[in-house]
Amino acid sequence: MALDAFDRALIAATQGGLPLVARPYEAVGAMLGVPGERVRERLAQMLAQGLIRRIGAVPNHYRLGYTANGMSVWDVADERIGELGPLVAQLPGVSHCYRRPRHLPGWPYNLFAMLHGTSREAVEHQAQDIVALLGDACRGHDILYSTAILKKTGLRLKD
Amino acid sequence: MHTAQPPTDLALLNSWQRDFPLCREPFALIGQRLGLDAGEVLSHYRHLQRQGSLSRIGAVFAPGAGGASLLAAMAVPPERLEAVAAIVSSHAGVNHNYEREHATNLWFVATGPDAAQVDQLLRSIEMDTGLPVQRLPMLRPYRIDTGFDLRASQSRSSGATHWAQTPLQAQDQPLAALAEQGLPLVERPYDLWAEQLQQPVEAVLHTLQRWLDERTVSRFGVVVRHHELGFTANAMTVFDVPESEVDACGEALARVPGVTLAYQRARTGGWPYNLYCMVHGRDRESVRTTVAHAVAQAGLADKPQAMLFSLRRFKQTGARRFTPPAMPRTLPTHQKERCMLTPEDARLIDHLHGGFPLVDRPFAAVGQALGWSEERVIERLHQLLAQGVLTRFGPLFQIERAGGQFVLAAIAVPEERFDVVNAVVNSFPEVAHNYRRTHRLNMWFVVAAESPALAQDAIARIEDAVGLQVFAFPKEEEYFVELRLPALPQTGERHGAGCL
Repeated sequence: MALDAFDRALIAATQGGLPLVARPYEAVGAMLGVPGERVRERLAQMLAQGLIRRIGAVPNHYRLGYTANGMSVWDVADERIGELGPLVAQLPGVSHCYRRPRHLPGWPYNLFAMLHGTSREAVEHQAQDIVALLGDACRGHDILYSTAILKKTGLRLKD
Repeated sequence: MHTAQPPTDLALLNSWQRDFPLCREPFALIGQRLGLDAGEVLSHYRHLQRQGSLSRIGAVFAPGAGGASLLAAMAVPPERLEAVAAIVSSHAGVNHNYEREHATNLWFVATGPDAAQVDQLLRSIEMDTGLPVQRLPMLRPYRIDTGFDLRASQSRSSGATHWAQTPLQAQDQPLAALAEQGLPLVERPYDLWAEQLQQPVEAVLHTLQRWLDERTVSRFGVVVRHHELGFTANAMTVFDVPESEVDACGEALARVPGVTLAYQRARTGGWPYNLYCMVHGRDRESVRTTVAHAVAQAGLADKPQAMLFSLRRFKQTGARRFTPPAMPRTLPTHQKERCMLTPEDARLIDHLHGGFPLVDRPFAAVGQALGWSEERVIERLHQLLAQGVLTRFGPLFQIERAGGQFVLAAIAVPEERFDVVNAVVNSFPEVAHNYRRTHRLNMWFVVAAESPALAQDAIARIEDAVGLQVFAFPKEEEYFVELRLPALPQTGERHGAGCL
C-alpha cells in the first residue's frame, strides 16, 4: 500500500498529535484544504488497513508509575524460537516481543521482550517466568533497563 | 505562513510582547480586553505556535543576567555547509543558526550556563567539523530585543539598553530556565511552573515581577518568529569603527526606527568589524532602504562595512542559558517518584488509550462517556501534555503497512562522549525514540523511515556523523505488540506485577 500525496500530508499534519480543539478533524482539514469529513474518512480507512495502530493518548509510562522498564533479551535456540516466541509474548507484563538478529560474538540474543513494572524487583520476577518457560532452549539472557528517555517523538515523515 | 494575520491573532502577537500579565489566569485577563474567554485566547495562541509565528511566551533576559551567550561564525566550504550546519544545530546550546551571504557563511549563537561550557561547545564543533570557529563576544549593547511592531513593519523605537545589575543567583536558575523556555499554554500556566519548582505560585509571580523591576529581564511576553510573519529578509550589517567613535555611532544606530539590534563586539584576527546592526523586513529592498538610512544617520558612510543577508535558517529556538529544574532526564531507578495522577486523569488516560471517536466533535463525545464537559477534556489533555504525563495525543502510524520500516539500533557510546553523540543521534528526524540503557550498548534508538533503503541510509549517515558502529536489529518476527499499561492513580504502595 503506497502513500499518496494526501496521505503524506495527512500523516505530516497529525504525526505530532491532533490539535486539541473542539473540532480537531476540521482543523486538520483546514490545514490540508479539505473538509473535516475527508480527514475522518481517511483516518477510518487507515485504522481499518492497520496503517494506524490506534488513535489516542501516548503516555510517558514513567509518569504513570512504571519506573522500571527493562528490555529483556534472550539467546534462544533457532529451531525452538518460532514455537516459544509467541508463548513469551503472552506472558503478563510483556509488551513488545520480537525476534531480531544476533550480532556475534558480543550479542548472542535473538528474542527481545519488553517488561514493565513499578520496580526492578517486579521486572526480575517477570523475567523468571520467561526463564521457566524457555527452559533449556535458552542459553542466556540479560535485562537492559532504561535509565533516561533521550527522545520520544514517534514517526516523523519528511516534509 | 506568509499571509497577513487575522486581526485577533495580530493583536495577540503584537500587544503582548511586553508586560504579559503576571497573574494566575493571564489568558482570561487578555481575553477580557478582546471580548474572548480564556479558552478562546489559548486556542488562538496554540494555533499561532503550531503555525510557527509564535515562538514562545516567556522572558527575554538582559545581557549580564547570567549564563553565557556568544555569537560565533564559520567560513564553511559551500559543499559542506549542510552537514556542518547539522552538527552545529545538533547542540542544544545553539539557539540561532543561519546561513549568511558572505564567505563567512555560517552564523550561530551558542548559549550555556557559563562561559566554560559555551567554550567547550565551540571546541567540540571545531573538533567535529575540523573548521575554526570565530568567537565574537559582545562588548556593549546599544539596542537589545524590545519587541517588534508587526503593524508598522519594524521594530519599536525605544532607546536605552541595560545590562542586568547582578547575575541571577543559583536558586533562581530553575525558574529562569522555565521562563526562557516559555509558558505552557494552559489556563493557569504559572501554577504548572510552581508545581515543577515546588514553590507557591505567588512566589513565582513575585520573582518574575522582581526581575522585571530590576531589569534582569528586558521583557516578558510574546516572542515572535519574524520569518513566519512574512519578515523574510534580514540583514546583519557590520562596520569597522575606531574605538573613539564606536559608542557614538552605536547609540545613533540604536535610535533609528527599524534597527532591531545594535551591538559592539570584539574583533578577531579574521574579522575586522566591531559594530553590528540587525534589520528585518518583508523584502530586501525595504531592508536596504532602512540600512541606508541608518548608515546616514549614524555617520557610518565612510567606514569599512559589509551587509550580510540571511539565506537559510537552520535553527531558531530559545536560548538555554540557565540550569533547568532538576527533574527531567535522568529517571529514578526505583519507585522514588510518586505518580501524580488523580483518579480522574487516570480514568481519562485509560479511556483515551484508543478508539478516539472519528466524529466532528470527538472531545464532546469523550466527555459524554466520562460525564465531563468538552472543555474539561481538552483542558485536561493540554495539562497532561504540558506536564509530560502524555507524550503525544493522536494517531499512531504503523509505517510498515505502507512499506516503511522501524529498525531498532544500538551504539556503545563512550561515557565522556555520551551527550554529544546523543545530540547528534537525536538531530536525525528518522530517530523516533532513543533510550539510555544499562549495558555496554548504552544507547538504543528506533529509526523510522519510509522504506528499508531509507532506514539503511539513515543508519549509515548516523554512523558517519558520530563515528561509531551502529548495530541494527531489524525485527525478523513480531510475536505480540500491545503496550497498554493501566494508568495508576495516586495511591499508597503499589506492587508491580499485580498491576499488570
